[in-house]
Amino acid sequence: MEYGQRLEPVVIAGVDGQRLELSRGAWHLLISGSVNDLALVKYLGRLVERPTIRTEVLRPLVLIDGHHDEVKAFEFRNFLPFPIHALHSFHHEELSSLGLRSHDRAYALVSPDLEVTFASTYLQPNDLRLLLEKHLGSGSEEHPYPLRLGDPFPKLALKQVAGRPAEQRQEVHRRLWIIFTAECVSCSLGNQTKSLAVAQAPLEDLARTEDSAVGVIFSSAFEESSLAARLDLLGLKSFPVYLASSPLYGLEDPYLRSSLHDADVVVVRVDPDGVVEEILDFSSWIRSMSAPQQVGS
Amino acid sequence: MTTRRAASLAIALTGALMVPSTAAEVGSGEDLRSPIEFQGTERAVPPQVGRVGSAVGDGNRILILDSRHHRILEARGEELKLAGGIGNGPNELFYPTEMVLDGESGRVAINDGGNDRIQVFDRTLRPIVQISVKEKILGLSWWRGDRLLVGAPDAGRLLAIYEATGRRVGSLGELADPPQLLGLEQGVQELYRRALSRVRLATRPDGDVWVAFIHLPMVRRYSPRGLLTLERSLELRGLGELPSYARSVFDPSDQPSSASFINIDGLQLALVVKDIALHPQTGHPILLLGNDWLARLDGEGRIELVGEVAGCRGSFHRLGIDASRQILMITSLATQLICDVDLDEVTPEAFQPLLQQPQRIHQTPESG
Repeated sequence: MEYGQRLEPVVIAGVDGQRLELSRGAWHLLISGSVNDLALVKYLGRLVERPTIRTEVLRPLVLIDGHHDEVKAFEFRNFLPFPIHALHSFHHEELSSLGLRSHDRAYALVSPDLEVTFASTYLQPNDLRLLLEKHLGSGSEEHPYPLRLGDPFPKLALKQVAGRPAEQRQEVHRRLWIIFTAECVSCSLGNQTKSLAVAQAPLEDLARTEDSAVGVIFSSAFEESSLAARLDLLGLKSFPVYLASSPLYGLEDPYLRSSLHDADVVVVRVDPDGVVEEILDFSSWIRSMSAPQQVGS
Repeated sequence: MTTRRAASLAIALTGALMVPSTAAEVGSGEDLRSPIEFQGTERAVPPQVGRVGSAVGDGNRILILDSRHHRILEARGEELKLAGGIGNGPNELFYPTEMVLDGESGRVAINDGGNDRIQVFDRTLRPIVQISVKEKILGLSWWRGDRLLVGAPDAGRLLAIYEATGRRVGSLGELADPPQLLGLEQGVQELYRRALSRVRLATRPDGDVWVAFIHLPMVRRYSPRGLLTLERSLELRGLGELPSYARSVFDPSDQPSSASFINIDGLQLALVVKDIALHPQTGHPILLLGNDWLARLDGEGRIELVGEVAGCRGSFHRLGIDASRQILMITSLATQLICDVDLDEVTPEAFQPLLQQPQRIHQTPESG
């Protein structure tokens, strides 16, 4: 399938009553790939729930090179609002009328008059978002610009997780924020919080030397009671812990809740004026906190 | 494709093939310090930039290639303009990787990698022409007014020549052919030859072309007529302990190491040079090395100065020149900031007292 190519309306019947239809009047998003593309499909499932995309005019056609049962189980487990099909449920000759060759990865956006508006052999989740916002955007775009050094620390909608120290002052200039985004909730609740527990003592020392320094923020994708239980289990009680009530703009993708930086958990240091002065990967920061002090030669 | 193991070829500065086997042999834990530091100043980019790729400037105008949003952002003071955006059509980009500015005409050429083409925009960022390129390209530069040079080793020659109208008009340069490849089977030789011939380019107004090899410690210069006039290994004149420096930058088995390595087509190759730019006054090359140091070469490709950039953090990515403000702009992938270095600082005169003695790279043994 190539950019600018004109397609013809087609209905392709597969086994077990499955059906692929390409018709005029709606945008079609074609994804043909392997089980490695299921993450992208899941992301699409979240994208189409957002008011920023006019999903009433979008028809995803998703073909995955995998077992029928596996593919369907993924669809149901993730409550996808569109069907996904196993590639071999359809004859290869018939798929060629969609411009597809078997086992080739393909991504395409087809306009309502059946012109290929975009075609590629690779696509990242952010690319998918950009593409859909561009062609089917409703105008209220949410651009996940990553927070950078020199930016003011964003105003975030937060609520405190019960059982942790409450704010003592109306205006607290926190100097150090540890932020858990939600690319992998279970990973973060597992290993990363454990690392936080290990670092609790050095963090308490740091908080004593800087003005009420440390706060921890979890993405809104975390569930409060599970989070509170985990923090109790690890004995993490020294710092205020917050749960976001909405996406952490500047820190996570508003749809996927994945980090906009190169790590799922980041440490942000803020100066007294509320300006970001450092953004670090949490794991590296933990290691630097644990490293023995260098002895001068 | 067969994947080469990590004990792959490493071409050392001295030209000798090194396949070291043990960490003890290469003295792990060395900390290299340069007596020369170029002073940089960090600068933020507009928040609309998703991911800074390349940046170039011309006085009040700065152009930034945003690889996350597949577009160009032009900033003139507070005024911003966007061009591109995700797609395959004219005025759309998909994974653009390089951007070069023609200082005279103001035109911008973009390596629109995801669309297998080069796109040229005029000074108002209106798209002029899309040039389809069949082979994978790396390395792009304006040349002799109206032409573009692109690195195209997969096509069998070092550089391909295109007119700005889109027509391919020729090629120049042979692929790198280090003697160390001789013992390998033909197919593997060819694989290495093409991978090792990936380059960065910079051209002088008089038409001379400087070529820096990304994976080899070597530079070349071609004349305006495309003839090879210089080929030189990167040598650190006056430095002591060359083998240690070579290990640091070029040796894949030196751990911990300040060198970077990347995997190309299953081959693990040292990242020797990330980028090249030319000093606008002297025309002398400035290299951004794989370990984030800067090196300034003389007119014959010999290293005059080499050192770290102080005042700027993070992993450096690309060089850009702002000739009007006499600034070298270095983009950083880690901080997403631009590091400005005064070009007057990147001259031997700026470090004259230090250079009265041979420049030595000091090694600090691991403490403990």
